[in-house]
Amino acid sequence: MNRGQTEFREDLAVNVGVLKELMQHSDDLVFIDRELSSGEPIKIAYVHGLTDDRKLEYLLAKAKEFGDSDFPFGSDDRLSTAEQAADCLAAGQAVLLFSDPPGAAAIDVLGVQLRGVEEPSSESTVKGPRSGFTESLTNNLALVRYFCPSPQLKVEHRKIGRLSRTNIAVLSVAGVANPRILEELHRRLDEIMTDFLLGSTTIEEWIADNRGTMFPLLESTERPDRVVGALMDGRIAVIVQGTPFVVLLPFVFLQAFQVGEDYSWNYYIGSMLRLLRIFCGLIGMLLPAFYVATVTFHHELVPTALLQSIAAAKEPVPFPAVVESFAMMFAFEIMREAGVRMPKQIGQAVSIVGALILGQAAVEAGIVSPIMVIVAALTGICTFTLPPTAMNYALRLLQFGMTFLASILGYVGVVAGIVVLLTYLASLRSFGVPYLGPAAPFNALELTDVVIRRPATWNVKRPALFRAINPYRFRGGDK
Amino acid sequence: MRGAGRLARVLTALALLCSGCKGNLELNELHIVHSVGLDPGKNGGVKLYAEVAKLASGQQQPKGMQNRTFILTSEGSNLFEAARLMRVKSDRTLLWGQTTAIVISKDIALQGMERQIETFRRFRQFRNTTLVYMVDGSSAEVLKAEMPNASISAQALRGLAEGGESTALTDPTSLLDIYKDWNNGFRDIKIPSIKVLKDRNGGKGEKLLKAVGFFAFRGNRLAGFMPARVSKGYLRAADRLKGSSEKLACPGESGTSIAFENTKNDSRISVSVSDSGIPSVRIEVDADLNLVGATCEDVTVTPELIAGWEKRLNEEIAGQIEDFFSFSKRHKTDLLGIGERIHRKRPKQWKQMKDDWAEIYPTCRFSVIVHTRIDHTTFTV
Repeated sequence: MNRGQTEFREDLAVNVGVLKELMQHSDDLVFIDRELSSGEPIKIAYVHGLTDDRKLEYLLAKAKEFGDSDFPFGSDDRLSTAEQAADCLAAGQAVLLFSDPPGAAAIDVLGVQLRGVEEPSSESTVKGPRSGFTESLTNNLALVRYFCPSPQLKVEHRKIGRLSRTNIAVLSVAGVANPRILEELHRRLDEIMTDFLLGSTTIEEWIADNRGTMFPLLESTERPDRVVGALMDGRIAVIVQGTPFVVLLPFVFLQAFQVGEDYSWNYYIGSMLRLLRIFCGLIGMLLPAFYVATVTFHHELVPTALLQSIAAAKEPVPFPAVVESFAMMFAFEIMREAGVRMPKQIGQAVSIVGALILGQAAVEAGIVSPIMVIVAALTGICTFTLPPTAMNYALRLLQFGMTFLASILGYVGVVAGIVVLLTYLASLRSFGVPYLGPAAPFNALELTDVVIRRPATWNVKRPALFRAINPYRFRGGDK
Repeated sequence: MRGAGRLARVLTALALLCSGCKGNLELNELHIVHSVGLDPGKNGGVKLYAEVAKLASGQQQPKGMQNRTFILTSEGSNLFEAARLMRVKSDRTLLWGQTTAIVISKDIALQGMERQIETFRRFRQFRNTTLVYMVDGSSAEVLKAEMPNASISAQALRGLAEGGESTALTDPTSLLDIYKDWNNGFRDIKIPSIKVLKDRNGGKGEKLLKAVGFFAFRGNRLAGFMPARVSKGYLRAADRLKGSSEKLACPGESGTSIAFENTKNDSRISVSVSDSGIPSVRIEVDADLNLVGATCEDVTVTPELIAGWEKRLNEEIAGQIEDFFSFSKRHKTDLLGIGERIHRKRPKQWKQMKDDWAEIYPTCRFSVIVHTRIDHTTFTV
């Protein structure tokens, strides 16, 4: 018995009092008297609203038919202390209190109204599976098992958060995922000291290799097919109760340009889409910087006819190109954020007003040049082609830094920014995996399946990057 | 190690603060120079013209290359001084790097081109691809001329240079081409000529530009002007002709002709030196042509007739090349780089010849062999 734990007594009233004490005399804590078939009186405790009515009614109706060890629902764990019983009550289980011998048992009657399986709005696809995770850990696990009905799929449950006691599940494929990475994950999970786990991002921040970086060192997804794909690569998934976002690890930079849909199309189309996203990522990060550098430092590099058009358009604008650029980028970010937070019904109105004010009116008033509007719009649209991960936001933040450098030193500043950025990215690790892999350290064969999409028949090996212990997906003759 | 990192960061920040922003210029602080003209000035100096495009005012739609232009002028003892002094007449900094064409007056060339070309070489702003033209008269006239759909004369000059591909009357020559030939000394240089014409149809005294022929140089000195036929002969011999038109008179008729489009021209030059030290140059030309028009009274195309046309075209093309050779010998200008070919093939003999090459060149024996083929007659036999 742990110190500070309260054992159950024979007197049910005492046990009820202890539980009430532990549950802070909450008004939604309900106790119901019943008798077992042997005539022994029991108390059934549950938290009102957290239970499934049908399961609870069934439990109450059938309670008197049960023997001491005969429980109708999944959990048959005997509880030895009142603190354990309180934890179970808070987690939505019903607790049966016995007097002879003194003890308790928890029965899973959780029934919270949650949304059903829907297509994730942040990762919608044209082709491919449309199921998305929900806030229920059980449902999410079931979805993964449905997509990957393999006995080798290993699920390890844990509770994180001193107060919240949030359930999480660590998923890996035995014989594929590297046990050292799994061990390292558990070690890092052990180190989480928070009292409350608010979604998967808190976990990401606690277990990431570098907590001070704005680049995501772990991936999060709402799609079970993506989780299964990652597990098959030898990666590990962490599902957190209460969030539809599942954490995948390790994660490398170039994966930010991949979406699951790439594998739903022919490999030519998938490759083209992947290259397009990388190109758009570069434009999204660098176009305003190149524009500012070109029109303030390197006028000679622009074709004459284009420079003449840009100069004519910029003639009435009183601000330097860098101010114009920052203003437009900032305005675009405001519009984007407003669009996300705004109720959908008035979102369209915002976009119309935004387009009018930021575009036509600003140009007519001579505040910004039409070319700058084009640059800002193209940049914004390009960033929308990337999956809406933290990488997307990081690249958008980098726009500002690169533009600032461009305004000071022109192309030299942009190139210096790129060099510093690449050096920094090369220094990052995700669970020991180099963040720029397989580009640095260079592995041409693996890079072909990151930058473009290889035909499935060529993917004999799993990515060596994730250090899977079984490197082969299939070999000749295997089925 | 951490201290070194901090020091590097501080030094980088200082470098940015000290050097950054100084080289930047906003576009509305600049005048974009589109073309440059060069005339002789007083006391051996130069007069410089710069064609600058006006930009549309705030409420107007940008017109791109359809804007009107104005000309800035300045004079100095040399090109650099003239360029610097031009700034005192301009409310904005001049951006020379977008210059499309440089027009040099023939009178400047008569004073010796080396100084001017050398100065242009030292101006790092100018692109190597900047076109160079020469004009018999004032270069300012060229910059002020307006083509029907190109209000910026630099655009007209670029368009005219590209037209040489189908007319064989001009050939785009860039600053880099001139630097290259000047530095290597492999051959004498030529610069395309531009003429200012009055537009007869315009009726408002508008002036048009016409690119025709080349000015040939002998070393640093202007040797002479190559008219259309000689220019065509030169381009054929130098294997630079991409397309042209040829015509033959209809036999026994006056005022009628048979026209051909020249679609391909390949030439090969071989050089030999006799024991007596007389160089012989043999040029073989393969030309493909198509019949594009015949105004003769009776044209029934037969294989015999085609063979006859081919023979006459051989003579016509050979005549063009021979005319070029006569010009070249007369002005002692080695535009084909014959001297360099001898140098590479017979280095020992070249050593004895190179000092007197200007005198030896006119004694060269030239022979021209032309193989013409008429590919299409577009007539049903």
